[in-house]
Amino acid sequence: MNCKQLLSCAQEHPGADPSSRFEKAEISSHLAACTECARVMKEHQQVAETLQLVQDPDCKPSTALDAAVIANYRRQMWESKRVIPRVSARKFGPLTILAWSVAAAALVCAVILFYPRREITKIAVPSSEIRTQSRSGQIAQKPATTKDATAQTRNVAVRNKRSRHSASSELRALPQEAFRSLMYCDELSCSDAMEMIRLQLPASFVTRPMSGSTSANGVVTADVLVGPDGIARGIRIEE
Amino acid sequence: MENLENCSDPDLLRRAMAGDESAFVALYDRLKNGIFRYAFYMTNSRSAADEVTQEVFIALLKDGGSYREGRGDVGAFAFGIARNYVRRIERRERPYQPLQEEGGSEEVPRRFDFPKDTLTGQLIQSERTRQVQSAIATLPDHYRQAVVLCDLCELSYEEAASRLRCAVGTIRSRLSRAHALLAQKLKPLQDRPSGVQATGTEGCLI
Repeated sequence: MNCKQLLSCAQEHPGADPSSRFEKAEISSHLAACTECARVMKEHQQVAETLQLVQDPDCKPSTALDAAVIANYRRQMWESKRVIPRVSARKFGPLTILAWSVAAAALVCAVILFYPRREITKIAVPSSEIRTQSRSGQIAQKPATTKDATAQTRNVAVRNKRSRHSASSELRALPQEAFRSLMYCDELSCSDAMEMIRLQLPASFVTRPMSGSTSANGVVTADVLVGPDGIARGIRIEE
Repeated sequence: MENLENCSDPDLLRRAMAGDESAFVALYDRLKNGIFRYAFYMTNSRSAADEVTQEVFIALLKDGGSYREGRGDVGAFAFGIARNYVRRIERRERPYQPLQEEGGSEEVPRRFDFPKDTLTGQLIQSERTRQVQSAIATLPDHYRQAVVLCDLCELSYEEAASRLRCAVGTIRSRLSRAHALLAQKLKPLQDRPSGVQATGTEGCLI
């Protein structure tokens, strides 16, 4: 037997007598020859003896503890029978989740169907026409023919030569059908065609007084010009 | 009355959770000693062991639904709960632990052969026990668990491995290292000059 065998034996059976696996004579002869192994084995035996000191033969739960545990059990059973079973988050099964999803979808549909809708009409308006007009603060209606459009563009070009003061005064004097500019619009930002969207707005959105027939039902129809970037460029209130 | 001795632990747990008190008592009788001994040796306090044992069985009833048979026996499940409670108690009590004295406490002679039935013998015995307990308490947690389960609770290596969810070889190596550490810590206690005989005046402590 060598040192390794002896120590592995001690490791497998710490505190136990290694002679259960090896011959006693062989072990004692090795221990007599090897002081290191003798020291390690002595340490192991001492630790095993010392640990026996800590072992308490009376280490058992008391009868009072037994009674307390059983009383706890009875109380818990009684409470569990009394309490109405709660719906916990864990108990949401796939069917419950599906049912809730369907209910939520139905609610959304109902809101969409019965909520006062905005009438949206998309009319393509050439931006080249509107762009020049919006700079001066007004946008004319879509011309019916190309001839009309050319004439209108000429008028706008003449108007652009006027001063800023005169443009604002002109804006005030515009007919009701003209578009009002909402945002600055130039060649770069409004290069493509715009879209006209017809909306119904609450009458309270419009600050100036409206004719009785238009705002009788509390809504005002308005056309909004929306640029290719999605920004509203002009608005026209219909009366 | 039905004989519950042949019932398996998972069956007893199910029946206990359903309200069968006799099943709960049978399960408690099977598990109580192991849990109590583990808690007692880990905390060195009987009241803490009582508290842990009570809490484990309450938690077993509350969280018994999360027990899965394939992942281990009920004993290991309850042991896991006990281990968590022991850690909780250790955290709670840590601020109240006395500081370690520099150079250790007064050493108690080991080789004096006092009869254990005398007052002096009992005092020396209890002091040595306390020193060994404090030496065990200073071991790293995984070594301490191995020592408590294998040496003090007298579980087999296989049982200890299933409780700690590790390999049997791991338990062996941890135990061996724990013993080496303990031997170092207890060396001053064990290296008292041997052969010193009682002279009769050692018992005079006052």
